[in-house]
Amino acid sequence: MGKFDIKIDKVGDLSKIQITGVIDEDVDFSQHKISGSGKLELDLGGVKSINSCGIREWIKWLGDAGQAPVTYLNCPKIIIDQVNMVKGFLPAQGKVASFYVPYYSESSGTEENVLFVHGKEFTDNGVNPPAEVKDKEGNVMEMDVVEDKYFRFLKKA
Amino acid sequence: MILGYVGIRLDHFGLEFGAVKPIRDLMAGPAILIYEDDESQAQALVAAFTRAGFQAYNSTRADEVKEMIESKKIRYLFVDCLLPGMSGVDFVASIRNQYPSEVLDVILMSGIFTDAIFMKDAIRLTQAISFLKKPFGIEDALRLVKADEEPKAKSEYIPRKALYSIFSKDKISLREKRKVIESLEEIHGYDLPFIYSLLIESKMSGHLNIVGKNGEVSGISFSQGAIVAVDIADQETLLGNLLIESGFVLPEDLEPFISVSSPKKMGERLIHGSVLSPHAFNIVLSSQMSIRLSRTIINSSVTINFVETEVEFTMPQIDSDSLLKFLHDWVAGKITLEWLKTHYLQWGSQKLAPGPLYSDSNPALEMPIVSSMQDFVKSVTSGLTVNEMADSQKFPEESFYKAIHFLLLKGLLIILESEKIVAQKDLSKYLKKIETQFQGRNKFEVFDMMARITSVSEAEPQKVYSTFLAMIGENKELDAPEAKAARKKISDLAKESFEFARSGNREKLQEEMAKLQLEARLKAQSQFEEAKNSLQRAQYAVALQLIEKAVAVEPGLEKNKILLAWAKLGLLESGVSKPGVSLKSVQMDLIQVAPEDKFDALFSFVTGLYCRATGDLLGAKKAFEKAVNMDSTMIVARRELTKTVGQSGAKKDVMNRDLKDLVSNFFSKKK
Repeated sequence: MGKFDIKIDKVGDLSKIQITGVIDEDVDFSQHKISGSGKLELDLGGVKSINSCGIREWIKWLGDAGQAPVTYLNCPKIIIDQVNMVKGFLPAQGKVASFYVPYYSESSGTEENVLFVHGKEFTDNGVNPPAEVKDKEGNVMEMDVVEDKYFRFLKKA
Repeated sequence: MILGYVGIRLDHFGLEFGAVKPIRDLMAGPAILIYEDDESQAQALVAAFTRAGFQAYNSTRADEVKEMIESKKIRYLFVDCLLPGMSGVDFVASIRNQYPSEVLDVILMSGIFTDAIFMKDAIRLTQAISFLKKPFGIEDALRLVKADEEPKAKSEYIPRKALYSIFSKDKISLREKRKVIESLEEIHGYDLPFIYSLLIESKMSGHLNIVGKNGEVSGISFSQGAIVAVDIADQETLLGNLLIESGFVLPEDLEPFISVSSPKKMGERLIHGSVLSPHAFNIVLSSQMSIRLSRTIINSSVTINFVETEVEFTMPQIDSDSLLKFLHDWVAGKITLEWLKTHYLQWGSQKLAPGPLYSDSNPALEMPIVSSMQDFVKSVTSGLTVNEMADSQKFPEESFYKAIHFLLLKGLLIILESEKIVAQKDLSKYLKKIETQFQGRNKFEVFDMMARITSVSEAEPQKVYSTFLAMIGENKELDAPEAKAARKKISDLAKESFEFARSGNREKLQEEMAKLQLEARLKAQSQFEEAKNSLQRAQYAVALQLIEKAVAVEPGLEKNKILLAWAKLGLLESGVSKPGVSLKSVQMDLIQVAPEDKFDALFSFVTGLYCRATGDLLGAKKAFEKAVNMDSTMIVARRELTKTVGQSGAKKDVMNRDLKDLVSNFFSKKK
């Protein structure tokens, strides 16, 4: 496996796409046709990094999806940052079904990503964070993002 | 008493970004008002606050609450979100509008509206300091008001200020630095040099993604303390164009490689096809990186995010030493004096001091914007504040601001957190300074400036306004009539501009201004083109006048400093004496040439003229040759080269040429 990997499974009119690795100038999305898909479901849990070239390629590629509904799953922070900052990174007809929220423990200095799932930890109306997140030593962890900034994409939904 | 007040007030210029703490707080305990229709809850809170030594009141009526805010000098307002007639959020919003300058910390309370998004929105709309979900313990409420008694505990965090204070912190972890960058919202393009410097000095690796106002995405990749890639959406700096411009490749050689698509990169393919040498490729790649990096430093706002990740350490790269020159050139040639003066207003009363990276032998101290001012480093590290230094007029204003900014970007200079108690006369000067900055500006521009002075995003007009009012203090505590007058003028303008910013007319005026600016810019462009023609015809006085007129309207005109230098050198050579025209001023113009313009044949040509004017005929010859190599159609450069060769009697001597030029010419295919 190279630094980027993509797997596309077509189940009826649904294209299930799993992306892992680095999205940059070396990624050639044109080899992975998505036009004509009825629905797209992208699992982004394995995306390690994305740079500006990757962002431009991504927007161009998803533009081929036309009006097909797009769902992002397991978005790491780097993806949510782009969704919040770059117009078109999440297409107009796109939704985030689940995303990671970084937590930090001041006591142990550890970081952990907690998955927020639509209908549980967040809805279209807001966020319902878990009552408590603890590190391995049992210390309470704090949400480690600027909340106004990080959850902004939910208000756009 | 007065000094005490000023000292406290100026805390708000500080690096801990404190919220306003009025003098009345020092004379009596803070007053607390509970606006809650459930009287039993309100009375329980009043009793607890009173026991804790506060003056506490409660009310169930909006009109009474408003009256008490003024008469009782209320500091904390606890408001229930569900009130009869009007929601608590709407009530606080109306209070904020009615008393924009009032220092009032709001705590929202609700047992019903506890959805996280509602709470966030409510806090944002009311600028509340906290939201208490009912039922809450009395100690939770006490904690909020008691925290304020400890210095800095209730400070407001302003990310942009935190960014510029990073080098002042003794111990700051990589994580904390990353968090500061993460917390940044919209920043100015002129803030980017600091971020580049910080990422390089911190040896962080990852991609800095930058989105401009027009939505264009660009990015810089960092690896272990160096910039290894710069990506901008720009056709002019595509590798093919640069290869042709620099003469390494002919268009017809490039054609077959452009028409065939390949997964391999263009450079690799050209080297493989023996069309390009690896050495020439590296030269062009390095130029491309430099030009692109400089083009990211724009006079406009941008948003950024940093994706921390491992990035391959590749060549060419820009490390800390190479960045020094870029920082110098950006400060000298791109960042405007107006921007710098506004930027430093917030730190005016703080002392400058040597930073953690300072050493007497640091090469930054030898760079022209610093070394051109005698005793600058000694003065700037002698414990004076930014205002004291600026007001001393020991150094030219523009040079002073540019030099301190340059040293601050490199972490050689820091602004100390501690405030200097400022006397009334200095406060008057400070207010006068702001008044001067506001002069002749419309409401849109004044508001823009307030946002920059306070480092608060324009998207939060209320916060911009209240922070700004806190910075200028209150009229009643000023002694001097001229200070009072200046303060009144500033606050009136600030109020008008704030109301305008909220009114929705801002966008309309922005459009109208853009139209007017476009017309003025077109006129300036045409004057500038006329100036270029005049220079070609050796009409230097006319050219100089046209350039000065055009630049007054459009300071960012491409290569304007080069053309200005050309016109001045032409006048000097013709023996025409004109105020402001001297070799020294030409030298300053050339220092301020934007880095990307230095890759132009015109820059080499004018450098040649300058060398010749200073008697350096060999340098002049080399520069003219370089200009001709870069642009073989540049007749003026050919003419001046012949003239210089004639003057020096020099022959074409390979031993006297730069090795780099020699090698470049060897690989060059330009006829």
